[in-house]
Amino acid sequence: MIEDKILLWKMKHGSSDALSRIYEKYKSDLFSLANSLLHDLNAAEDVVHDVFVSFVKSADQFQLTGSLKGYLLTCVANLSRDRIRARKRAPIGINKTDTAIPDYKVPSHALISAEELDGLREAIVKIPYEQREVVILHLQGGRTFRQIAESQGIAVSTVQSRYRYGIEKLRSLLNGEVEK
Amino acid sequence: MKPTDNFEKLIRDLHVLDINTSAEMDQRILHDTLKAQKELKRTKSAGTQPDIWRKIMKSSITKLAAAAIIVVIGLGILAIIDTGSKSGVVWAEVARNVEASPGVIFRARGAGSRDPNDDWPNGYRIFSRSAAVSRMDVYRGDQIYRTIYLDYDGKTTIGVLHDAKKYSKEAMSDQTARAEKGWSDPQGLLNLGLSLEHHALGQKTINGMLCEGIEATGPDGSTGRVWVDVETGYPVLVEIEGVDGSTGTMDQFRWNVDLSAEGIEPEIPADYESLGLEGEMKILSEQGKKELLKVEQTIVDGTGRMRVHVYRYKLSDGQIKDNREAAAYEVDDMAHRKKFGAQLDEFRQLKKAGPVEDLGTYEETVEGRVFIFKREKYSLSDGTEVIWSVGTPKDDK
Repeated sequence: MIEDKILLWKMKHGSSDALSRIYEKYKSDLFSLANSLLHDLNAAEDVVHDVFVSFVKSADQFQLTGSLKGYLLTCVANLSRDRIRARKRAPIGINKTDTAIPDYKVPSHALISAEELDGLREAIVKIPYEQREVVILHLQGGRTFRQIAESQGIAVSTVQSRYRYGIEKLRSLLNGEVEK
Repeated sequence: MKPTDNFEKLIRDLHVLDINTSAEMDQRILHDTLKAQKELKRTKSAGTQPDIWRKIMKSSITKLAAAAIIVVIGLGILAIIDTGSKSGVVWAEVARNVEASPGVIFRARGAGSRDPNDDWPNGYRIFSRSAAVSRMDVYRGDQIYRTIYLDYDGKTTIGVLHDAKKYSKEAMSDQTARAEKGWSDPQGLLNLGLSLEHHALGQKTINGMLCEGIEATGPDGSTGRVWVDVETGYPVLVEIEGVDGSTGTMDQFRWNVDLSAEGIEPEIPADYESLGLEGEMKILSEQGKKELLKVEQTIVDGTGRMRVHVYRYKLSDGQIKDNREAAAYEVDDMAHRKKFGAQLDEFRQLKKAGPVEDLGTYEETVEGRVFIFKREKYSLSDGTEVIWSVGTPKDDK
């Protein structure tokens, strides 16, 4: 926390080194979140790009009240939601030939096979966005239900319901109970 | 373990959804982010730059404390042009005393600030101010916590984080230097004084001194009370009430202090770590105290030109630091940059293998020094032609 405050202090005073260190420190978390939400690495890069540029531009007004990581994760989640809404409005038939393949970090192979991993990643994409958002923010981003509720301006009970439904749907998909 | 068994654990603990970023992604995002930061810095220095003093302190009370000194002088000047005081204190004399004081040291305390970073009411701050320098020591309890030092003439700022055993040296812009010195600008204070509504508070004894007070309301609605020692004609107590409910008190004034003789520049203990070398390098750079060691230039298809200068700095702690600084970047189009970023890795690999064509050398004067540039040509797999030049000083040969 103190390190983030020092980095922020330096960044606000124009230190490019501090800004680079903030990016390096949180880029993996932010990219992973954006990619999990959008299922599109190019779109995830655009979101992280826009969040950081906006973060720099608003640095003077920015007051860190919680964790910097939490703040940036919330920004990524909010912008990803906007992009999803915009995508729904976009005409069908968008050229997706330039879709990049994410370079997933390699987990312990003793616990899960590559096929099972692919199945899990594909299943997550298939659950409704609002549920996916809560599941990913909670499990991957480490955000509490209360923090998610506050950042989205909804009740904690709503967040908990979305999480529960999301997990149930995910389990059904993985067990083949739901038509894929 | 099957994914259906415990996928929550897989996501949370094994991070199966985490991805690695590529160097190209990082380069694209960092380039634009750093560029935005640089542009913002330029805009700020050209426009209304929030002064570093207030940004660091982030305290409405502290702002009021600074304003209070203005109130003291402003009211005094007002008294000069007004009808003057009919009581024991000659306010015109107070104004002259304050203005003639080469420096002042005082303690500031406060309560009710909404800023969670503030130390009020458990701490206090000691201010030492003159027209040339300013120092603020922040105490939590009786322990010193932060020191901020501003040298308006030297245009430098030193911040010391005693709790973290770290320090920072930064350059101060002309704009900030002018703004900070503004508190002693007589014309500005005269204008402020004329805008204030005020009334006399009468007399009372403070710490055994007979004092006379005056109360004024500032343009922002805050109220300030200034109590002056009838005998010496110097302010001894300033009380502020902000519109946000915060309150501030300044006392323990020492007027007529020669701060240059007091040596108020903070001494940085040997075991304190620099927050970064950039700050001091920036100062040295602005002073021209750096040596250009190398110039690197990349020309992509004859258009996208990127030039990097490598400078050597000798820092005050004896360290020698070589720093790569972008001197020209003409690849502003986002699509072009994305393409160029994607080509960087291939280009780096090709450089290790050697050029397809050695284009020889040429001389060019850069920043008053003659450099010999060695030019090499590389061809990327998509047909992109890259000319890579590296220049080193001719007098080193």
